[in-house]
Order: sequence, then structure tokens, then C-alpha cells
Amino acid sequence: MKILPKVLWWLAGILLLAGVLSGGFRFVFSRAANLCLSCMGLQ
Amino acid sequence: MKKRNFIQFLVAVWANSYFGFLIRGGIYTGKLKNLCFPGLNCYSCPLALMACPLGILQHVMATLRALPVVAVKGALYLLGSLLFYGLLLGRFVCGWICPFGFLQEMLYRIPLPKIGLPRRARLLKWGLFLGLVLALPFIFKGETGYGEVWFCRTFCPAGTLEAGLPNLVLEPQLRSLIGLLFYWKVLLLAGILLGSILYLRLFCKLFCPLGLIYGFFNRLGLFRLRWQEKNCIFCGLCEKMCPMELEIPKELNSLECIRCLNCLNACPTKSIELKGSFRLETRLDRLPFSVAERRHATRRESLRRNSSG
Ligand code: SF4
Repeated sequence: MKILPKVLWWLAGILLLAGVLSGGFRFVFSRAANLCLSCMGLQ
Repeated sequence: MKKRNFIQFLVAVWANSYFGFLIRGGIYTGKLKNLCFPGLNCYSCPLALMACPLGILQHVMATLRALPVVAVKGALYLLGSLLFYGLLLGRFVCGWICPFGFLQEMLYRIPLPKIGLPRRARLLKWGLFLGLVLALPFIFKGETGYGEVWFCRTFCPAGTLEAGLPNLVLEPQLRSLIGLLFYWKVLLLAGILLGSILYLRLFCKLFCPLGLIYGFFNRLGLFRLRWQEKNCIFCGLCEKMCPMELEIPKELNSLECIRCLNCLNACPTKSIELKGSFRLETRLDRLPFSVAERRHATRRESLRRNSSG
């Protein structure tokens, strides 16, 4: 259990790298750069 | 204004500092929208620079069945971002960065009578997280094959305040879409804002799924609060100053602590400290008693000794 934080730091790094290399940020952009009618309660 | 409130103010202003909508209309579509903001800040707000991680998490769940590969790529990036923010900051995000947390703290300053709520009510945020953020967006899909962002759609007060209301003012053509759902969200927003005047951080304590996620990192993240028994005089000031009404030291690293550091600053003997560590030290990070309990136990013990002596 003691090493759990270290494992999580590695996991964060690996996930971020995999997310960036696979273009996961484009998914974030595609959702965040469009007006979301649901967020506004209009749909 | 306290230093922490000043930092909250600066971050809130920076995160909402896009004024291009005045010239071009619409919302910001520049490079920063590739990044998740750590706190709750609606990306459909005309002023917002970054993406809200809670909204993106729902979009991942809503897209998983229609476009699994795309959703998994998004999930890798989002989970990496959330893990990174969680490990580095944990609920410092709530106490120092989140604009909606700041707004609630300012509202609580309005001099009206204050109320208390049972601790059990805080379990509600588990229901919102598991139900509206994770389960419903995944389970119910529309004709297009995509699910809906249920928390944003039916609950999120930041969405109504930062996106719904300003966009309706700026874009009159949207007004034809106003329906029962919108009225419900406005009512809920009004209730939460009014409730925050009476009860400190009502939304954070009862409803916020993002705070719940970051709460898990209070025991695993880089910074943890430690209590030193040898210095403590059991005055109980720390518990009095805690905005989250926590038992200290029992709950110093619990899900609920927003890392405001009020306890640390209030302690006259510096018995509470903030320590950086990459290791989990269960003995120090999780203590099973509160200052009040320890004070009562000590008093009982000395009474017992006096009466037997
Ligand atoms: S335990 Fe301390 S740091 Fe945590 S919320 Fe309470 S006063 Fe703030």
C-alpha cells in the first residue's frame, strides 16, 4: 500500500502520454469548443 | 480579503477572461480548449478558456457506445489530467482554484442567519456522481447512438449561471428553446445560491461530483495534513475554524477536506502541518480520533486519577 501514490503518479504520466499521443485532446476540444445546449438546460 | 480568497478571485478571473465574444460572438475556440481546467467552470460560458473535466467525463461516458475508440482516447487524456491534478493538488482545487467554490464563499458572507445540515446529506453527491455523471450518460442513448450529459443537463448550477443565462442574453435566437428543463435548472440554481448564503459551500458539501473525485486524493496525493500530538493543547480551535465541519485530526485527510488550511493557520501551537510525500503513511495520514474526543478522554483520565488518589 505504501507505494500506491508512486504507482498512481506513473499511471497519471502514462495515461496523459497515451492521451496526448492518441489525440485524446481532440475529443476534449471537439466537446468544449462547441456551445453545449444541454449545459444551458435548453435541450 | 484573505490571501486564499484573493487567489481564488485571480484564478476565477483568469479562467473566464475571453472577451473575443464581444467582437466575434460565440464561445472561445482557441488552443486552451484542448486542456481541462481543474475546477468546475462551464466551457460553454462565453468567457471560459478551458474545458470542464466533469462535462468531458460525461461526454466520454455518452460516447462510449457510439464511438468506443474515440471515447477511449478521450478517456485516456481526461483520466491522465484528473489523476495529475488530483495527485498534485487534490482538493486544493476546491479550496483555492474552483470559481464556483469561491462564489459560494462570497455568498456566505452575506449577513443572514446561518443553518446547519445533517452530515448524512453529503451522501447525495455519491448518487449524483454514480447516477448522473457515470451511469445515465452510458445507459440511455438517443437516436444518434450517443448518450446525454445528464449532470450538466439536469443539475449543474455552474452551467446555468455561466452558460445558460449569459448565452440567452447574447444570442436571442436561443430563447425559442427555453422550456421546462431550463426553468427547473434556474430554480435549482436559485436554490443553491440562496442555500449558499445560509450554509457554507452548500454545493461542495452536498452535491459536487468533482470534489468527490478529488477527495480520494487527500490521502494519496503529494500533500497531506499531519497532526502532531506532542504540540497539541486540545484547544479545539482547528475544528471551530473548519468550513467543512470536520473532526480533526480524524478527518484531516478525508474526502471532505478542501485544503483551505484554516486549521493549520488557526493552530496556536502549530500542531497541524502540510507535508509533501510520495508514500502513503497510514499511521500518520489516518488518525482514528478527534481533538475533542482526545480532550474528553484526557479529562476523564485525570478525574479518575484524582478521585482514586
Ligand atoms: S480540515 Fe483544515 S484544511 Fe481541511 S477543510 Fe477543515 S480547516 Fe480546511
